[in-house]
Amino acid sequence: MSEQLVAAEPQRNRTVVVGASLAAASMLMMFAGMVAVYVSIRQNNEHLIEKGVGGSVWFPDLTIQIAPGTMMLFTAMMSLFTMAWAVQAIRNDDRRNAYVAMGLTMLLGAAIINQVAFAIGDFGVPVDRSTPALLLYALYGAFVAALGMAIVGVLLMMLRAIAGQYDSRNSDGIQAAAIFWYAVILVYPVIWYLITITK
Amino acid sequence: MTAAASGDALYEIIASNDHKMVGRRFIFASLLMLVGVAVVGLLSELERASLDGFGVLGNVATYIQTFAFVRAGGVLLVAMPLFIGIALVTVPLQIGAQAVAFPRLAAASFWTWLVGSGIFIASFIADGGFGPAAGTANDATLLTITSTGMVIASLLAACVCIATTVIALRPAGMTLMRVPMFSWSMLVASSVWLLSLPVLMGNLVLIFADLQGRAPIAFGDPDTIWSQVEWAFQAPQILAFAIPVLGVAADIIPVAAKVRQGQRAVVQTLIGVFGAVSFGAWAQHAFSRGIDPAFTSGNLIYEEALYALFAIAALAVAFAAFGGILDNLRRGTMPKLSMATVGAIAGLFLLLDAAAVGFVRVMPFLDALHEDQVLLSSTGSQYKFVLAAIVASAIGAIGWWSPNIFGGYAVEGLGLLAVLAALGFGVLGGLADLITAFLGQADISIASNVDDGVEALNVISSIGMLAVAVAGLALLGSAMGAFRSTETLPDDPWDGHTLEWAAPSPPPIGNFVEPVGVIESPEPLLDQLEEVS
Repeated sequence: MSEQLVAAEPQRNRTVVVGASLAAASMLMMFAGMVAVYVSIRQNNEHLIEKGVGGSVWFPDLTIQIAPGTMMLFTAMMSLFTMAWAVQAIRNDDRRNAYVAMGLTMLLGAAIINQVAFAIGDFGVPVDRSTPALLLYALYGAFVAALGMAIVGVLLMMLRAIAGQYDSRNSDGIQAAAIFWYAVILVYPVIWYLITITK
Repeated sequence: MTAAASGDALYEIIASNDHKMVGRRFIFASLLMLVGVAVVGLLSELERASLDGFGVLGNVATYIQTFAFVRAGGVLLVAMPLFIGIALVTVPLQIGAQAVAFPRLAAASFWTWLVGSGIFIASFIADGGFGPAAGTANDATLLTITSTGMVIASLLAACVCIATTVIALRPAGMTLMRVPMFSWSMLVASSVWLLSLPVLMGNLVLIFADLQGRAPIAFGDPDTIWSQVEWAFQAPQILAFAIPVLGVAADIIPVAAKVRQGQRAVVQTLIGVFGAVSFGAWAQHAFSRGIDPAFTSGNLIYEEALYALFAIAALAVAFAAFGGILDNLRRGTMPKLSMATVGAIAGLFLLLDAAAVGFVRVMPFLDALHEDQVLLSSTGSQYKFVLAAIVASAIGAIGWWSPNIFGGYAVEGLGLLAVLAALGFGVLGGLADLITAFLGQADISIASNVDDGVEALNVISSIGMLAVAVAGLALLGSAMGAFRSTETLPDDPWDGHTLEWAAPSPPPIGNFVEPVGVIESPEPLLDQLEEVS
C-alpha cells in the first residue's frame, strides 16, 4: 500500500511557526487548568452555601468594577487587529507598515499591563483574605506574565525585521510571534467573563 | 590526548548544541538521577516496612517528603528526561533531518532542567516538598514549587524541539504515516506532555501565589498541596510517560525478527489512542470536589465513571499494541536475546502490567481496593510498573541505538543485568504493593503495620527499589562502555529498516553524508535490502 502513496512535494520547513503553535497550545492549557480550578472551586462554594454548611459570598458587591476590565478587553481586541496588520504588511513587503503595526501592538500590550495594574489597585478584595481573591490575582498575574512573554516575542521579531530578516517569501518569525500573541490575548475574554461579568 | 584536544572535548561536552551531545547529556544525567531517586525510594520503602517509631527516617514528615520526592522525581528527573535524551539523538536521525529543531533551545532545556533538578533536590533536603506534613518549612516548600515549575518548563521546551522536528523537518515523501515508530511515539508523547503538564504548571502557579509572604489560606496549605499535584503521578497521567515504550518496541522487534511491521497503521493508531487515554489533566480532585477539606459531597475522582472508562480503554489499547508488536516474533525469526530485544519486550510486558493494575483499581466489584478517602497502595503498584517499564524500555533503546547515541556498542552483560533488575523492580515492587492494597495498606502509609503479611511484602517492595538502583548503575556502566569505545562500527549493524541506519555510526555533525532522497515507504532501508537480495 505504501508504494501507491505519492511522495509529497518538498516544501520550506516552518519550524518557527510549528514551535510557536506548540508553545501557544501549552500556554493555553495552563490557563485552561487554572480557569477550571476557578470554576470548580466557585461551584463547590455555591454548593456549600446551598447546603448551609459553609461557603461565603464569592466577591462582595461593588468590589469589582465593570469599566476597567471592559476597557482592557477592548484594548486586547484592538491588539489582535494590529498584530494581523503586521503579518499582512510583512507578507506584502510593506516594511514601514509592519514596523508601525508591531510597535502599536507592543504599545497596546503595555497599555493592557498598565490597565491590569490600575484594576488591581481598584479591586476591593485584598489578596490575603480569601480563596476567590487569590484566584483572581493568580489569574491576572499569570496573564500579565504571558503577555510580557508575547511582547518580548514581538519585540525580537521586530528587531529581526528591522535587520532585514523577514519579507514576503519568509514571514515565519512574525507569524510565530502573532500566533503566540493571539493565544495570549484570547485568554483575556475568558478571564473578563469569569471575573468582571459573572463575578 | 593533548591538553588542547582534551579542552576541546570538554568544551564539546559542555557547550555543544549538537542534538546528539545534548541527548547524551540528558541520558547520563537522568541515569544518575535514577540511582539517586532509587536510593531515596529504598529508604522510603524500608520506613514503610516498619513504621513503629520511624526508625529509618526519623519522623512522619520526612517519610512523606521522601514519598513525594520519589513519585515526582521518578517522572520529572528520570522518566521524561531519559526518553527525551534518547529522542533528541534518534528522532532527527530517524526522520532524516540534519539537526533537531531549535538546537539552542534543546541545549538550554538540558541546563535549565539540570539546575532545576538540583534546586528540586536541595529543596527537599532543606525540609521542603509538597507537604502534607506539619513542620514543613514554608520557604523550602516555595523552592520545591518553583523548581518543579522550572523542571517542567525545561522538559516542555525539549518536547517542543522534538515534536517540531517530527512535524516540520521530515524529508520529502515521509508522511506522518511513514514516520518511524519511535519518532511517532515521541510525537504522541510530546503532544500529550505539552498539553497536560502545563495544567500542572497552573496548579503550581496557584500554590506559588498562596505561599507568598504570609500564612497560606488555600492552595499553599501543606495539607492540600500534594492532593493538587498528585494527579500528574497517578493514573491515567502516569501512563503518558510510558508512551515511548510502545515506540521503542515497535522499532526494535520487527528489525530483530527480520520482518516488516505487520498492520503498521493499526499499531501506529494504537500508540496514538494510548496517548489520548493517558491524558490525565482532568483527573484532579479539585475538579470533582474542590480543595476545601470541608466539602465532602460529590465523588472522589477515582469514583467517576470517566476515570474507570479511561482505565479500561488504556488496558484494551495496551493489550492490542502488545499483541500487534509481539506478533512480529511469530511471523519472523526468533531474535537474538540482547539487552535491546529483552529490554524492549520487558518494557512492553511491564507496561501491560501497569495498565492491568489500573484496570483492577477501578473495578467496582473489588471492594477491597475501594476505601473511603484513602488511596491504597495499588496506586504505588501502578507507578512502579510504569517506572519499571520505562527503565526496561530505555535499556532496550540504549542497547539498540548505542551506535547512533555513543558511537559504540553498549556493554551487553551489564545491559542484560540492568533489564533483569528493572524486571525485578516491576515484579517485586509492583506485585507486592498490589497485594498489600488488597490487605488494606494505604499508599502513603503512616500508621504502623500490624499485619505481619504487609510488613513482609513491604520488605519485598524494598528489595524491588534496590533492584532499580542496580538497574540504573548497570545501565550507566553499559552506556559508559559504549561512550568510551574506540571500536570502528559498521553504519548499519542490525540491518535496520529506518533512516537512522543510513547515517554513519557515530553520525557526524549534520548526520548524513549524502542527501536523504524522497521517501517512499516507512521502511526505506528494508526496501533497499529487499531490492538487492
